Amino acid sequence: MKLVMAIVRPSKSEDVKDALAKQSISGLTVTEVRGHGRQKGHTAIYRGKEYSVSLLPKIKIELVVPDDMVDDVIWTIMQTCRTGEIGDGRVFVLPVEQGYNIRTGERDVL
Amino acid sequence: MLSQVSALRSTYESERKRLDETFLYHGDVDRYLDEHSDLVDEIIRALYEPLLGQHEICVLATAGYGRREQFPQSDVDLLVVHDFQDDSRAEQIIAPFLNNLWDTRLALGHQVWRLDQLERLTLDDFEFILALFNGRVVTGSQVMGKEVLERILPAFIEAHRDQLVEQVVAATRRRHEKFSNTIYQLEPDLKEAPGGLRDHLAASWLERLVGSPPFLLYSGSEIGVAHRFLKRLRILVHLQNQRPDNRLTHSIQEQLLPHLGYGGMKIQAGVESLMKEYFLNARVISGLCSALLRLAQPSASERPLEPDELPPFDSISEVLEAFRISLDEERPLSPATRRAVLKSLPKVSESISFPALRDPLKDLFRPRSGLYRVLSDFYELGVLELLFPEFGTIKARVIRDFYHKYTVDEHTLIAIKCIEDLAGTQETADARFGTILRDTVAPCHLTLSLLLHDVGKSRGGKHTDASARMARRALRRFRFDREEVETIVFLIREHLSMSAVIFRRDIDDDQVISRFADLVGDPERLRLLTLLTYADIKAVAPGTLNDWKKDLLWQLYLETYRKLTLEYGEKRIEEEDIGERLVRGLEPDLDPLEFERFLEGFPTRYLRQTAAGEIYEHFRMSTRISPSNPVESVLQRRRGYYELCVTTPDRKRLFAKIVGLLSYFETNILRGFAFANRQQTILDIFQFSDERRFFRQAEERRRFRDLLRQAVAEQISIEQLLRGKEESILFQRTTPLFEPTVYVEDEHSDRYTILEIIAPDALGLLYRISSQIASLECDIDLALISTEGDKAVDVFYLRQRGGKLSAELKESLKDRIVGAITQH
Repeated sequence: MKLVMAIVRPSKSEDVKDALAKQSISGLTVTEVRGHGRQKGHTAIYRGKEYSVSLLPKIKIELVVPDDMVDDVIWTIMQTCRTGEIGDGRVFVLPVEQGYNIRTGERDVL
Repeated sequence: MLSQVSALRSTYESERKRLDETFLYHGDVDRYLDEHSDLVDEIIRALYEPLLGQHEICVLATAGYGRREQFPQSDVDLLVVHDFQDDSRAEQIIAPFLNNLWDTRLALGHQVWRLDQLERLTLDDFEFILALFNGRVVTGSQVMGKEVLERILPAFIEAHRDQLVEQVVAATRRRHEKFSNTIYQLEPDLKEAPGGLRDHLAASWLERLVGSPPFLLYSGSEIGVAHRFLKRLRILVHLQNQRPDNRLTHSIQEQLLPHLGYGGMKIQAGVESLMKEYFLNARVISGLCSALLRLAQPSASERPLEPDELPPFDSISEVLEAFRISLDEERPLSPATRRAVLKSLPKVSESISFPALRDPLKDLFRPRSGLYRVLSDFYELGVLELLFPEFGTIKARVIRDFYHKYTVDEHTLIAIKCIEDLAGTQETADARFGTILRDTVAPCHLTLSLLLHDVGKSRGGKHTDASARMARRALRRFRFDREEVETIVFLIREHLSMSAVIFRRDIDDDQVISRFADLVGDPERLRLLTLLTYADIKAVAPGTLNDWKKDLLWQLYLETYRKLTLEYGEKRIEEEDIGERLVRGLEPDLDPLEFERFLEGFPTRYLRQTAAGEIYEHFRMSTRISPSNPVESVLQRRRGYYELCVTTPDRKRLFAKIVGLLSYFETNILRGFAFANRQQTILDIFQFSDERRFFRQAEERRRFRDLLRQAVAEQISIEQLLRGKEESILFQRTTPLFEPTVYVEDEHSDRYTILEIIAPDALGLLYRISSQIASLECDIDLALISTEGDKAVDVFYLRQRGGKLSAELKESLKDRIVGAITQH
């Protein structure tokens, strides 16, 4: 089981959800976040004054998938979010030791 | 005793079953509650006789049971009064009675008091005292019961009336607070939520303590219907839940449809109709409760305007005036005014002259403190619907999507409140939107578009288009200017566009911003649309517009503003930009080739922002220019402002001369555009207000035209004309309101150096700035002039000898401009 965590542009979150749904992945968590990577914000000019946009709004998508689906999921996210411009985002994969369904009390077997 | 208890339990269960089934069949609320109370009474009496009959004891029903409103899953609230001096003896005698009652499975909530202890009640027993308000004797000593209900309780109320009022008001306000002070709950608690049954109860307590309110919007029978509807829902919810849960949850809403006459509808439509009915009734109860809260504890700011009766209003204009005064004085309408409004509406509605109401309405809709309160009154008393029947179509309309907290009408009013709040907000994430609001030229366009932005939700299809159509009809009824109608209709039609770009487009993509800027067209519309989007999202539910979304909205605003100002002049009209339709529309005496030549070189936005008729008029003016007539000007009076168009072959310092002359006449330049085409024909358009009313006089208008001609021909000196005024104490501002910003840059344009100035507006400011530009021999190819409140915001596209300005020239220009602004 792996946790796939992707930071993507806000405009791409719906596309990612749709693309993952086509792979029969329906369970995911979406969070509105702010941050920066290499795209270290930028400076906008407004009324002749510089206005710093240092932490950019992004979407964090998290989903836990079986090991054998990890590559497909990463490929789908990257394919959907890639524009080639700075700010496209990041994907991280983390190991997951255990998972439980709180309602049923069952342990996940993925 | 065991067998009797068991028999009573069976009786209760079978009778309850019968009552429940009969209720589901006939739906008679009063009968159900009455018969259920009778049933509980019988069980209590049956156990009282063998267990307590020989003692001096009284059993009283209190709270809901006392009111004979025994709901299926409610507690049976009892007060047992005795006069045993020995408490243990009392317990020994009374405990078996209560235990047996428990065993019948009644959900008992009981209190046991010695009669003399009741004499020593304190305010700590506040809730118990309120429960006693509705007390009645079920069985036992009538004398004791009378003593409690007719002597002890009234005496306590008499002695502690003010404190009781205070506590009821505080408890009600605390309870409302828990529900964010709104009746609009997605899954309302029928008992506790504002507009729920406890509000009705609190109102009845307060009425007993302080009397009836001087004004109630709803009649006694309307209140009775609303109260009965809530009770009916609560019975059904209890029967459905089989537990004392009063929440009208999403799943219960669906399950109740067949019992409330919505069984034949699709679930979505049925639930929306049910919730609409709920909110309409909750509004009545909430209105009743609010009236009593106001009566019980009027706050200083709620001091109404006039105390006594008023004669009915003669016209709707007078009604509007009453609302305006209430708004300006920041005090609510008095009960007398409300009564007078209600009484007057049938008569005044017979003869409404809508066009005469346009200006008062625009003034009323100006965002300021108290607007939401006044519009809510406006709506509540029926005036809003009278003027805008379109708004009536969304009354209590529910959108069931687990996202919209409020009904459509309340969402609309809250959205207007969000704008009202912006003016005074200190929150940093919101303060920046407040600055946009202060910069808008006509903020009433914003509130009017908010008022009508969702009216199309009462129609099928795309609600933005339907709302736009309905708004156009409404605004025409009031004879709003064409330009105003177009702006408001545009805002309504596009009210979801900005959200769509933010959440579904990449706002780092320059093309996305360009397309959006093309859609919006000018900075004023951008400001209005940004604020409309801000308020529309914020009014969906508390927390919907979080800081994250605000950042995205702000970022899109900034990028688009940059496109509309700093990059305005990048795209110039080429031959292929001029549509055939535009050329075909030319009158026969005008030459199409000349027309195209006239347009080539102006910014492409000129074509988009200017109506075809005006473009033809500008061209016609240019055809009248000749060596003997080097300047052609047209001055037109519009609603609320004047528009001056000047066209002439390129003339030195022309721009400075015109603005200098406009300053001399003390006009306030609202917007200005200066364009130069490829042939260096200049087209300058100025919109200005004439606060000193010089232009109302034909003589002054003639003088203006003469002076303009003389100035262009260098026969007079504008500087000299202005000096007289500038040196007058009347026009000398000692301290600037804020530090001016002068920004010169090359980045946003390949061909021009852009000069952006934000400075406190002052007499002759634009003249001084443009004179400095001219003195450095810079050509103004494009100027975008606007006055936003007391701020002048001017953007100039400059070139010198066909190229951008050199670094030294830019420095020197900046220094001179700063000097020109601050010298005054």
